[in-house]
Amino acid sequence: MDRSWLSALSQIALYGFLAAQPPEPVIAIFKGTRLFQFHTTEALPKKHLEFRVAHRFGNILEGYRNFFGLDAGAMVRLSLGYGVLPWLELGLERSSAGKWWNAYAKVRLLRQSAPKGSPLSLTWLSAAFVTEASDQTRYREPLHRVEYLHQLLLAHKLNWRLSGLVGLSVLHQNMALSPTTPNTWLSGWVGLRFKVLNRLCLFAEAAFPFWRNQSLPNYQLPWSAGLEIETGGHVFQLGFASSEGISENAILLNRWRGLRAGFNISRIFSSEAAW
Amino acid sequence: MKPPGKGILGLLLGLLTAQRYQSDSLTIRFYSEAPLEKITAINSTGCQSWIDFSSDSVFVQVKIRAFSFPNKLMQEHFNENYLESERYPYAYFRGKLVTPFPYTTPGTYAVSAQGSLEIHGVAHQRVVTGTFEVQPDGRLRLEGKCWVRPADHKIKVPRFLWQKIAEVIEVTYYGFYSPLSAK
Repeated sequence: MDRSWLSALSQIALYGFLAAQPPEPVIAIFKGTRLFQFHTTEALPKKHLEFRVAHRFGNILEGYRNFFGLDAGAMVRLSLGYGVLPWLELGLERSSAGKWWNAYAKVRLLRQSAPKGSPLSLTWLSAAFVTEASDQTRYREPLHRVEYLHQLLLAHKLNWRLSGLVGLSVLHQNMALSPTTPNTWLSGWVGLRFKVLNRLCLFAEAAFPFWRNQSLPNYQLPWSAGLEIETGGHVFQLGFASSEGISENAILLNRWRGLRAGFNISRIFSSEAAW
Repeated sequence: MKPPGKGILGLLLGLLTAQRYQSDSLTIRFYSEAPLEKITAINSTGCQSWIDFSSDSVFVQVKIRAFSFPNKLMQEHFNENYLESERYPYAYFRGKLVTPFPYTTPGTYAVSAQGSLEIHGVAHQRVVTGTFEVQPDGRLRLEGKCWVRPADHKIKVPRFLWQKIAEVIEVTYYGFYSPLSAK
């Protein structure tokens, strides 16, 4: 007797049962922990270590005279990050521009889930910066050298190609830039990632300040754009940035008019034992 | 007057379902050995399978996201760049037993099944093999191994990564099947 109809029927019933899948976190909203200048909502998995090198060359707009900024040498930022818990990453960084040391903690608050669940991924970042710059007039006391940054990052992966990011940040400078400028700065940050191929993305990011122009004379909107190439173990980001500094606290209060070429290299190591 | 249907129907249903077996702890591992890198991943939560001995049909469904790698970056790349699990969340095998075996008589039997193996949305006709050990309690223990060529399923491996990802991936599977009981 041919009972293939029965197995066909049971398979239909089966598919019905399987269709009800629990929601799962959406992975790889961004390829890396930074879009270019700023953090994304991604944090390192537990027991994974990231080593990151960022380079920014001189001002391209100076033209051939300085070989589009490459003659000027490069600003360097070295970063180490470690996934302590599935939702917590700790890091330490040193930026050559401004001689800033900084430590940060990055906490995953919420993850975008599919098919149902949260539409957004939410990550909190807190960082403390200390400068070693020898500016005796501005930094008369050790605590003057400290700045704090707190960011709330929201991201959504629309589809496999497109992800968007909105960040809100509070920057506090223990010592203001000048007697007329405030110590605390509120600003936002938007970023987009467009995946051209599986291993090639385009990205763009820009800040939007929540302060009036006169409180920071000569303010120049920081933005960056470029492309991201992933080669398996490494992520390379090649891009242009409009800011003078290389650390977030300096970038947010950018007063420099120019454009730099630069790149980031990220390498992630897993200390999880093989099975 | 009592309707005669219920008892007979139940019996019939029992007879029919007794020929259907469902996997209960099916685990799939894969192993890729290339000159520079050996990669292993294990999937013990996302594999489901049914065998219907009345028609000798076999159905296997494997959730791609459930493959766990020691290196989570590799796991992300596996999902994002190779298997594209957002678009193709499952791999399937739909086939028939080539050599039916006495699945109620304790013993060990070499079994093969022919059918379509669909990975990454691309189906490929395959014969897969394994051994079934019929346990005294009626359960079936499966153990087997097959090889999957990513290129057969249009899984692209960039040329510069040939030293890290094998051309042929070894896939092993093991687990138990239990008869589906009539309720």
